[in-house]
Amino acid sequence: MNTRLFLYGAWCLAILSGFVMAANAGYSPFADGRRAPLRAGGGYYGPTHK
Amino acid sequence: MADPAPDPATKTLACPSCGGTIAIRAAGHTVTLVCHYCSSLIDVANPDARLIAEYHEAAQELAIPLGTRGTLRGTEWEAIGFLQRSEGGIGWSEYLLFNPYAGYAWLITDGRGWSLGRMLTVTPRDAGGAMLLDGERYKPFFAGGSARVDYVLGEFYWRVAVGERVRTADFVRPGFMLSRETNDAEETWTLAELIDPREMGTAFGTDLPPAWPGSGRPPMPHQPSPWAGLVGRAWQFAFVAVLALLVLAPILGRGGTSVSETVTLFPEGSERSATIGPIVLTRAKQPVTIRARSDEVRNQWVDLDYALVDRATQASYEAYDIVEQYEGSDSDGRWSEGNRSTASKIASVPAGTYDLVVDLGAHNWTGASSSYAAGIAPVKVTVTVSPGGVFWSNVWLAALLILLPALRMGWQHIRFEASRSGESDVGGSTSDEDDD
Repeated sequence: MNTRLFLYGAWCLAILSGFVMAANAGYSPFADGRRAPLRAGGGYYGPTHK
Repeated sequence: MADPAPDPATKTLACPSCGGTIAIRAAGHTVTLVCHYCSSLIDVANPDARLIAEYHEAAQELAIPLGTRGTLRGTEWEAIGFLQRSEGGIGWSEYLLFNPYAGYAWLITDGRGWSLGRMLTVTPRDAGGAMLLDGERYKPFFAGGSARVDYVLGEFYWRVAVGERVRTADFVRPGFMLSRETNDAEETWTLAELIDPREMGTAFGTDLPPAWPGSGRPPMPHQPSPWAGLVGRAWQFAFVAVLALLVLAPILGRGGTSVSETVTLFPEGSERSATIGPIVLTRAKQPVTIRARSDEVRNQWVDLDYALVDRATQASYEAYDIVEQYEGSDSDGRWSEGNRSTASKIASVPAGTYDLVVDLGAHNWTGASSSYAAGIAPVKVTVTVSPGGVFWSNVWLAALLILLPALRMGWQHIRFEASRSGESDVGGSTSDEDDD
């Protein structure tokens, strides 16, 4: 197998493994827990598209 | 150390012009010889060497000095002649190689790499502009050229002369170039195979040519894309890996029993608090998904402060969410925005029995002009807590990381092929994309 292809296969496996480990631990860097999301507009409520 | 025994095919003669001693390396086959001392052209077809044209020029320094031997494709070749040719101001070099048993071959270079050419004894078959040879298809690359001999040195099996012209056409497939040369007397075909520069270095001691794209020149017409065999396989790998992500995500995000409660509250009234539970988490670590929905909010928002509290340790995991919906009309017409249904996910919650404490507050939006004035009617909000959940942001991030290298390889391949085929004077038919 070509070295580049081997490295790419290893890269895919590494990403897949990382994903499985994160999913198994219920982890995500994008989780909502523990921090309150900041609203655009700094505390303003109401429609924002106008 | 004793000198090696002279090759039986080698003879020597004195140059009729300058008197220098010249070796004939393919004696019996060579017709024309160029003196490497004075560049005079000598007819050696007859025993008494005759001067064809007299020059007094110093011989060029060659990348492969004549007389150098090297083994390519299992045959030991000796460089016996050198031609410099050009077409439209673009030049290249051809070394005539000789082996007493294998005959003649050519080493061809234009500074970008080396090809080993053998003259064909069969004529390739025309297949709609392309050429077919031994079942392989060669696409047209250069058409209707005229090559001129600019410089000669060494010995040749025909009467070569500076200024000699032939009409040329070239056809390519990855790694091979099929060349046709035609003059008034004959048509000849040569099949040239691209040689690995490292193999050339080992065989003839040549330097490694600069590689594309650092060379600043396009790849050779028959140079295979380094990514050609990779791109298809890489996309297969990527497809399997992304498919695995999409299959594994829901499996790994599975959870236990959901718990739900509906809370009624009045806009601009006092905040309410509700405790929802028990929520039993069985895996060592898992996400917890909290969904909130209210079909009644209209130009209103409901703040939701969540605290998922472990009954045993009182450890708390907090999140915030909002259910909101706004609508109205202005000079652009009717508009609406917001979402009556939202979801929050808390990461890595340990096993245990939990309660979800929710603080809710409903508010009216009174800004801008609105066709619907938010009222004082009560608003019902349903909050559902589910163990487990899929972090789709993780899935998309992983998919992006998997696809990026494959996309880069594909882009590099397209760039290489565009640069390679850009040199062709045959419109749009030389890309090897469909050969991959």
